[in-house]
Amino acid sequence: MMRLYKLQAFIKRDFTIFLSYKMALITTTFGTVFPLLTYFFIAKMVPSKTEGSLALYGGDYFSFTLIGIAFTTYFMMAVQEFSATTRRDQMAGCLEALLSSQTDTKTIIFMSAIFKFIHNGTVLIFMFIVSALFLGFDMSNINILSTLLTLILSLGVFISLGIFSAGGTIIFKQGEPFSIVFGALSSLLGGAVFPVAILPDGLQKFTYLVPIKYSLDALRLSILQGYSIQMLSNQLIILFCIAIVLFPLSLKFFEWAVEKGKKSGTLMQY
Amino acid sequence: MISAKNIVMQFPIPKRYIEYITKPFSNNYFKALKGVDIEIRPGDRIAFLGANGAGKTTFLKIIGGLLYPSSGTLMVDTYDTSKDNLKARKHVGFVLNEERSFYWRLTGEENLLFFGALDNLKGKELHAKVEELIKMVGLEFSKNKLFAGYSSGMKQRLAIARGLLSNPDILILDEPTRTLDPISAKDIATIISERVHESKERTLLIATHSLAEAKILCDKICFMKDGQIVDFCSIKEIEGKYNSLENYYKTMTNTKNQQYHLAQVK
Repeated sequence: MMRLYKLQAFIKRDFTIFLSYKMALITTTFGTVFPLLTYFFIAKMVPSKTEGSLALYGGDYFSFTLIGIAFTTYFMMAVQEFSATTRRDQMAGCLEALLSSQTDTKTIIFMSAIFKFIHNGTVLIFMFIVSALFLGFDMSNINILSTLLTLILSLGVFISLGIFSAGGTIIFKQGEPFSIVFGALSSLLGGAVFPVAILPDGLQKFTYLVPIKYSLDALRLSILQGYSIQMLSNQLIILFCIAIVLFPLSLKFFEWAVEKGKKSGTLMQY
Repeated sequence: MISAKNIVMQFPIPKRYIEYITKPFSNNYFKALKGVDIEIRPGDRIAFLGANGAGKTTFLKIIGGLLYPSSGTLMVDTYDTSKDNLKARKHVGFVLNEERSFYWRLTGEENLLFFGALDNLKGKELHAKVEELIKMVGLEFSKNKLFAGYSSGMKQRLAIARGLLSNPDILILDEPTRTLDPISAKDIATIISERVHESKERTLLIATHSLAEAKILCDKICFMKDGQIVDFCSIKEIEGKYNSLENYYKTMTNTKNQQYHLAQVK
């Protein structure tokens, strides 16, 4: 059962630590403005011949890229944060203290990542507000319901990958393969900064194996074109199926990794 | 009640680069515990003695649920620490000797409030408990200071307070005065003997190299060597036989004398 007071304790801990780094608030929030401006100006130079593949999403390259970059960053965080927090606590020496408490390991790993989800979510909203107010990003067609559902299902997928990644960190310490594979595949095959339709046919087939492709596709269509849940049913069903398979598997894998770490005495090593 | 039956703990020895190629699927192991059997009763106050690498910390970590034994069973109350880890942990408070095991950018009080929530305390109960423990370990005037600014002695006091948050039946202290100067070490020993152990029902397990600490805090010793318990008896018994704990320790750490002692015991 979710213990809200524990969740509150984790958020308070991380918020207090975050605020204690004076520059962190400024750099992590306002630092996002510069990539936005970069893509805004790149969008002005994009040759018109790519417009064909963008037409499905309204034809504006900046809007296309903004959604791609903002959500890929957010999903990437979801994949990496669980292992990052495990490793941070290992290196800081706090993991042993956390694991000797009366809270189970899964809850500790989940709750340790919550603040980052809230913080990065706030930064993501900030990026959209700045883009809408100053860079001509048009959100007037947004279908909020289908956008939220896509976001929830996508998080289900990427949090599962994140839990795999945390388990991988416990076993391999460094160089765990899950987030590395995800990062490499997403940037090329996920369609973060270009439509996958412009890839060669052979490569395009591989894009169907990359979950972020479905997420970005559905998010662009729901935010820019106002697609309803029904219109996005293909993407949403695929995301749902991936999440429903990956989530329990990831939890099992994580439990196995913790048990292996405790048996071999390597849980606290980094 | 703690019951350990034939506890074996083996750690994989990290491979060298060449071995990843020449022996990719084989692992070498180091046996840290080689069949430990012991029964610890409620209220026992036991000092785990022995040289570095004897297996004291490993054994205490198994009791605390931080490690699972490679084989054998360790029961805390009625719970197997490998199978019902969380339930077993509810009986145990662990005072780690790791100075870095707190959040340096939180104050002492904020650290305790956080760990208290993890130990299922909330609201007024949590604040009252933290307040009580801060007073108990004498940190009331520095509770709002960042942990980063704490001295080693203060860090250790806070670690003791954290170990007591859940009011555990069993308190494990892993070399609580290892990094402290003699005066701070004496202060910590006083806190443990006078305040922590006011409840006679609480079991106290301490890994230590300090015989003075063992004498002040404990009534029994458990001497470990090469991953095995070679002696488990009361300090009174030892003092009757060897005149002092120091003489006993010298005997036990001298291999020839130890063999003689073991022959006498047998």
